[in-house]
Amino acid sequence: MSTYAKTIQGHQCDECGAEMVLLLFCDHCGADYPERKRLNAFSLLGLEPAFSLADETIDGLEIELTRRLHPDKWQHRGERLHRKALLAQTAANQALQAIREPFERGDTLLLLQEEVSSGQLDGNNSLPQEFLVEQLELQEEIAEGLEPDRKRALKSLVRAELDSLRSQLSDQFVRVQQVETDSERLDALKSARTCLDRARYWRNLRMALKGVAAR
Amino acid sequence: MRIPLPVKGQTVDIVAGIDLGTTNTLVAQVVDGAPQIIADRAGRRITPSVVSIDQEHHPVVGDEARERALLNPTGTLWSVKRFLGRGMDDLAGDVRGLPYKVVPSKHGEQVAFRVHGKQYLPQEVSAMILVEAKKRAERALGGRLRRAVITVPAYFDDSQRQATRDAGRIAGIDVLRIINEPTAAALAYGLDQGRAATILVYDLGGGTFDVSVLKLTEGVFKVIATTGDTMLGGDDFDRQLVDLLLDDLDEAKKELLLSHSGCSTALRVAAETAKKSLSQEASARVQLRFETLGIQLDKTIDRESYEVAIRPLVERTLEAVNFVLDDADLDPEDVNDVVCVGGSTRTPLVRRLLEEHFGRPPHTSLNPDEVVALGAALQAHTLGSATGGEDGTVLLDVTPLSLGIETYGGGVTKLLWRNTPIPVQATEGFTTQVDNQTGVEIHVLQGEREMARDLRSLGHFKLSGIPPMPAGMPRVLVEFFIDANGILKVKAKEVTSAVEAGIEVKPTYGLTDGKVEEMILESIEHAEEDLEERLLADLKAEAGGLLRYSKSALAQRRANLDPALVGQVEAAVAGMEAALDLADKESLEAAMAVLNESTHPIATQMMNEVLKVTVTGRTVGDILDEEQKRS
Repeated sequence: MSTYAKTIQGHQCDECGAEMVLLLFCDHCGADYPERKRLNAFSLLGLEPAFSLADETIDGLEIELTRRLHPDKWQHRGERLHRKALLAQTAANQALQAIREPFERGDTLLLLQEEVSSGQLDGNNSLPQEFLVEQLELQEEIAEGLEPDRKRALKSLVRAELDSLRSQLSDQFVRVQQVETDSERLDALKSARTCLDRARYWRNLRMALKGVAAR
Repeated sequence: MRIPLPVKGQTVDIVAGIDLGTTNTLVAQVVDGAPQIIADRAGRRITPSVVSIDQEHHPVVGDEARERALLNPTGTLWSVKRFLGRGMDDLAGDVRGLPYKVVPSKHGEQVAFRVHGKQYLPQEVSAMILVEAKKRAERALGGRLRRAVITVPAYFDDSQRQATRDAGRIAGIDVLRIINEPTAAALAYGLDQGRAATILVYDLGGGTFDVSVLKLTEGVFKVIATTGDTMLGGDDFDRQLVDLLLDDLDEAKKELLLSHSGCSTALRVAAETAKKSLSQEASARVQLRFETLGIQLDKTIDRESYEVAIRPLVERTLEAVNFVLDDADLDPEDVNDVVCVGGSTRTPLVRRLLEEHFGRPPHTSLNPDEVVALGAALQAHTLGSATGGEDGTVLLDVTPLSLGIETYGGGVTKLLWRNTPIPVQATEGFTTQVDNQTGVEIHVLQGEREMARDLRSLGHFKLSGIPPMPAGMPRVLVEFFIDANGILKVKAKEVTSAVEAGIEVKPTYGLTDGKVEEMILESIEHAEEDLEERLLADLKAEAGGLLRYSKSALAQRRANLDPALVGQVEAAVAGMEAALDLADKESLEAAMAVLNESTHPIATQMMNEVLKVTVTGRTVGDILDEEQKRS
């Protein structure tokens, strides 16, 4: 990982000046900022939008958010504040979900590029026929049941493909930052989109390999 | 040590943790910083989750109910938790061998019990158990239990959690929080005191199996993955033992025994007793005599054959362990602590296989039956204290199953994936398939499969009042919201028309708020009368029930009883009648104690007549007595 996103330090509550852990709600004085609901996941959490984000950063943020916002902590601060805290924690969890997993994070980042892409980055860009056929066959094979050896082999295949896509995705997002022209940027974003589309299929396979609930 | 003394006119407010278990229910509270099980005045720490309802529809709960199982097999309900929030389809073959009747209820698709011509919902019966546990705690501490944390298996789905919450409300308890049993167990072991750890909780109770992986980081407990089986537990070990006991009989005799409710109860009790002794001894001898059917059984089961019989069940639990580790992307060696919960983890085979699997012995120092209630008490204390848990451990839970709605063609769109941290909200847009469609039926589903028919239906929502528009024009936004208790609320609105249409909620397995209100009103427990008066009314009802039961037992057994015993029971009955006339607390309690004591030999005798389990020379009566003394 080359560039870690930096936490935007010192975002203060307009009412009391305390540092805010989530831009929606001040856990110090209870002021809330419903107009910020439309902020993207990164901004809400006070992070710079970036693909490279260390797991530790996200985990640390989650712990901090939970410790300060979890409704259980607001049990005795009155019905109104308890409710506000519940909504804040809910929004925090939702924002964390949008950036926690690299591919989810990639999707979230692409959504932020609307003005450059003007709708050209919607999902389901056509993927090569042979890729789709391969995916279909693998899904069918898994559905029919696997021998332990084959299952292990497939798991490492899926892991390798996802690792490779993740690093390609990372490269494309770095390119987005570096290129000069809008058309080059759009090109990088489109490549990122393709990575994400392929990754979706591999992630489905990963889910299928984990199996459904163990009943 | 500080002992809280009740001041006259001012009652102590008990904030408790309640483990509403499949087999037993326990109540605990924090005293001087440490959680303790609340024992009743007789020193009993456990309330068996058994309810016995007599012909007059008077319920008796706990030990007394268990004693009546033989006299009143069709009216004595156990393992009620298995039926909470479930429908007939969920149960399929599992109602086989139950002496009581499970029927489809009049409310939605959930099941109900049919007892002496009247229907009881699992929520109502669970509420009876909660009321009994609550009364015991209140009597022992002279306070009032209004607020509690109730535990559920982590694998409990939305409708099962809702049903548990409703049971609490019907029992007049303000449920502070529904928490997961594994989380409670980890709290009880004080594992939240460390800085960081990965904990696997293996909970094999009477009726449910749960395995969860928890991650602790600086005072935040997060369930990262959870799975289990709501239809696997110690009861299944009993069933294996019943099969072993019946091994030598031909099919016709087996069928005869299992279809006779009194006999199947006796078999179950014998199996349970043999199972417990097999955790200590190398073998157990079971002798049963069913005179009415002309069948005799005398069988010695050694631990080895028992372990062969239950091994597939234990291996099924290890598959779930592997599944949950896989789901959390962990290997067995990543786990720092393994915690054992549930009475069935006393089984040596279970502990042995766990140790082999993880290469380290599991935590077993706390009583596996009590550990969940103790942890719940700690969390209740945190939530109920004046500071409102500002310094306590925070529990960050996840939703155990994916949630979505049915789409055109029987597919499903998932709005929330399993293991998503809660509270959480998710919104998804949908549209219509047909021109001028003014209503949309929204079907809420739960589970991991891809087709609606394979998933569990949680309820139907009807969004009506959409103005006529061409197909594809309306934008219906469906919002899922799961609160910190894991309870789901669904809203839907149509946005294109800027008309917010109302939705009608029809929970498939739960109760409408109106119905719960109604049941609360029905429950005398909720009436805000004076505590003393209420306790007296309860006591009178209980005494009346005991009197009826004793009289009928005496009438049935008189001929077979020692005349001296008959005299004693008759005297105790007369004493009870006199006490009921007097109707003051002390005389009622005294008379009940005497009557209970004097009828105990009758119950034991009845039990011994049909079954005799000899474990190194002890009879069932001896074992029951020992158990009572121990608890």
